[in-house]
Amino acid sequence: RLAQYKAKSHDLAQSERRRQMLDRQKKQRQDLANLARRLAEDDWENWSTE
Amino acid sequence: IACAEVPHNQWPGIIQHLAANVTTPGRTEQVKEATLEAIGYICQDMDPKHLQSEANRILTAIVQGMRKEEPSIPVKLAATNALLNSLEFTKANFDSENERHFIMQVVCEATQCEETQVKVAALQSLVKIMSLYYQYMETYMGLALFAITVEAMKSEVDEVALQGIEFWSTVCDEEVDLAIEASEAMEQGRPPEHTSKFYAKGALQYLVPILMLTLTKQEEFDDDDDWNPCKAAGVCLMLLATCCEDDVVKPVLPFIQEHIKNTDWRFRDAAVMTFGSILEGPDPTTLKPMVVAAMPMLIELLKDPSVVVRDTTAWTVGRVCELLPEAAIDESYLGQLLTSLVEGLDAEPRVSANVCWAFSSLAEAAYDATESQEDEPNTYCLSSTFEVIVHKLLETTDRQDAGNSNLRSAAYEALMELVKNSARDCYVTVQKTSLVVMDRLERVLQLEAAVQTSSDRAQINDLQSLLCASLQACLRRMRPEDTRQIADRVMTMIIEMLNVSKGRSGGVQEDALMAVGTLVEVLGTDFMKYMEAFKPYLALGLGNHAEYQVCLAAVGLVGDICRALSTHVTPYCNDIMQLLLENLANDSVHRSVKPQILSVFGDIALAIGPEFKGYLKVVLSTLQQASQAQVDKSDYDMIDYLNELREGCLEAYTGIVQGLKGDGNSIAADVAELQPHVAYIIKFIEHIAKDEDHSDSNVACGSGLLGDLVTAFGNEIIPLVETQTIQDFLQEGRRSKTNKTKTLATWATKEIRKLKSAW
Repeated sequence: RLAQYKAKSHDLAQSERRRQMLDRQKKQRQDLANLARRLAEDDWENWSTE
Repeated sequence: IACAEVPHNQWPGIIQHLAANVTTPGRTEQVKEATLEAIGYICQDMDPKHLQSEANRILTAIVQGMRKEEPSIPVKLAATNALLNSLEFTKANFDSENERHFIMQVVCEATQCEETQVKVAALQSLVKIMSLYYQYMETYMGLALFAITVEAMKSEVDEVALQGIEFWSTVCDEEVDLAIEASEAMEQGRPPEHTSKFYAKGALQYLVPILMLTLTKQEEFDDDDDWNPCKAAGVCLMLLATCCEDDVVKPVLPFIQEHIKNTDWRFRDAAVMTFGSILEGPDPTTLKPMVVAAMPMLIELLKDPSVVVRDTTAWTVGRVCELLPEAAIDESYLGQLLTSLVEGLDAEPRVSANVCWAFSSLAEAAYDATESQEDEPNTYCLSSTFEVIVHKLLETTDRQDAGNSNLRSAAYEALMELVKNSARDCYVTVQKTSLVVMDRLERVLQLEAAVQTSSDRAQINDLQSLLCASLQACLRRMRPEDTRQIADRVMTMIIEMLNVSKGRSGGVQEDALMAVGTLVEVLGTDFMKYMEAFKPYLALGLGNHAEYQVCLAAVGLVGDICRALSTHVTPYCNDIMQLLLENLANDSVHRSVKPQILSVFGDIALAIGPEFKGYLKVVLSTLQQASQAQVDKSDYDMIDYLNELREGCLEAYTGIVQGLKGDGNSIAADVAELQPHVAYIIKFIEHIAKDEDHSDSNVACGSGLLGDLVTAFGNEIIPLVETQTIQDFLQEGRRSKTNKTKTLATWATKEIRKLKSAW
């Protein structure tokens, strides 16, 4: 409970930086795979589903 | 001794013996007390599964000691403490109505004991009972629990008041969880398993006045680590707001309005604290006009004579910036707010740390408000003050007292957020900041020689980590041509930081490796010039099994390097592959590193294409082994881990198929090497599909891989993907709420259909 008192949720501590790095790497990996599938990120929004 | 022996059935009679000590007439007070204490410790320390069969006996002894008629206070106290420790394994007794009534009666009676310690232990039991057996509490809430706990909240005795408040905080926790369960059930079109009785909403109007009054009982010079009713009331009010949402606003408003300008600082502080506490929960559209109206007053209170009020106000402003960003940047007072916040950076560390936090959220709010279609807006509402804020934050990190209240970290973190969320017209300041950060890094690296104590070492480590992370934030924002100009200097510093001979912590090495990752991303193939010099440090990172976070960062960096260098990474692959395979085979390497290694196999395969054939045999056999992993399904963490591991396998297969297939229009012949494994890979996807605990991300990766396989191998594998399991799996993907998954599953389905129609 003490940690909830006047808690500040903005957290760029190392653990958060680590998480952001892993997310970024995953996204880049998937973007690259989708590029090969001709599924560029920009097209996703307009992708027509049958 | 019981805790060591009972789990192995080596002392079967002990509980019976202890229980008899309490229930047999004529035993002395001391024997009963010591026995109940022993029972309490056994209940506390032993895994409940070993005690379930003895639950009745234990409970009978405890209840005997807790009865109203028990004359001895020490016996009562020992019994009440034992009850608190036994609640986890007495579910069967709570399930039975008669027994439950009896236990509740005894506990409620114990809360009325004159002796504070007994009262507190009984109240603690009520808190735990509420959290464990919420669904059974309806009968008792109106009759007893409400009155008992409200009375406790008003107590002059801190320990008693704390338990009264904690009871309602626990009710809020439970009811927030139940609200989540209800909305999930509604989405899935089924009734929820458990339902909320909305006790918090019902009691709100009675609880709020007591809590607000408790907020006025601040300690003037308290320790950050002290826990008291005033702080507990703040947390409870925040939880009530989250739980009761809009309903909380009406009962708190009169107090805020009446006391925000009170001459007594305690009431001003309580009013601001109340306001800050209800900012999350109620509908933002309800709150926004109130916040806009209150902000000029809050800006004023940032300069209040009382440090407690200034601290609470800075925290509240930080909450506004985070939770109601649109209200924070309202142009009618933004200028004034920024001036006050910049001045606030000179305040006491606890106040200025909150100001830093406000700046972090404000930067994000300002950036999001531009709604720029491009990556980076030309200008935004912080542009005119950006340089002043950054300059002041840099000054703050250098304050003599920045070690207090986490101020230094908070200031660097605010700096990173500002740089990350900067508009184009702030570029010169970002560039200048990168130079300041590099100067500081060089200076702190020179200080290494002067490190004498472990506390010096810890400080220097923290500082190096923060500077490294700040540098990364700048590098991400800088134009590649400007980054190239400083790249040599950056790499020299990073290599120095990775020089492990000086007792640097893993944390520093981790941030240094992450900084290299950023540089690699920006430089692309230009990073080649550093590979020879950097290679030994990458190997050191990959071999750091003791500090697995360093190892993890190094593994991730291999992926970054592969994406940036593409085929140019080939000469380094033998060494890297050997280290990665060794890590996989090594049981002392932390398990969280392993899924990442599998994914990075995919990155390497995609980067070097046909050159990966040399590793194919060993990698496929490793993937086969990893894909058969099994975990204890009763452990949620292990279910998550299994999904990560499977995702690593799927990403590895994807990289291999795509790498061997080539990115030209025709399929490269090399992909045939994978042919004998295709059936296994599809079986693996089916295996994931059949596991009801699979993640949405698994579905996305699995669908993508199916599409790749179909594209690479054509008609011959159509029968393998025509199974009901695979079709259901793709359908799940097409219906996913995640755009990415939906797109991939739709794409894979289309690829299959395309082939079938041509067949």
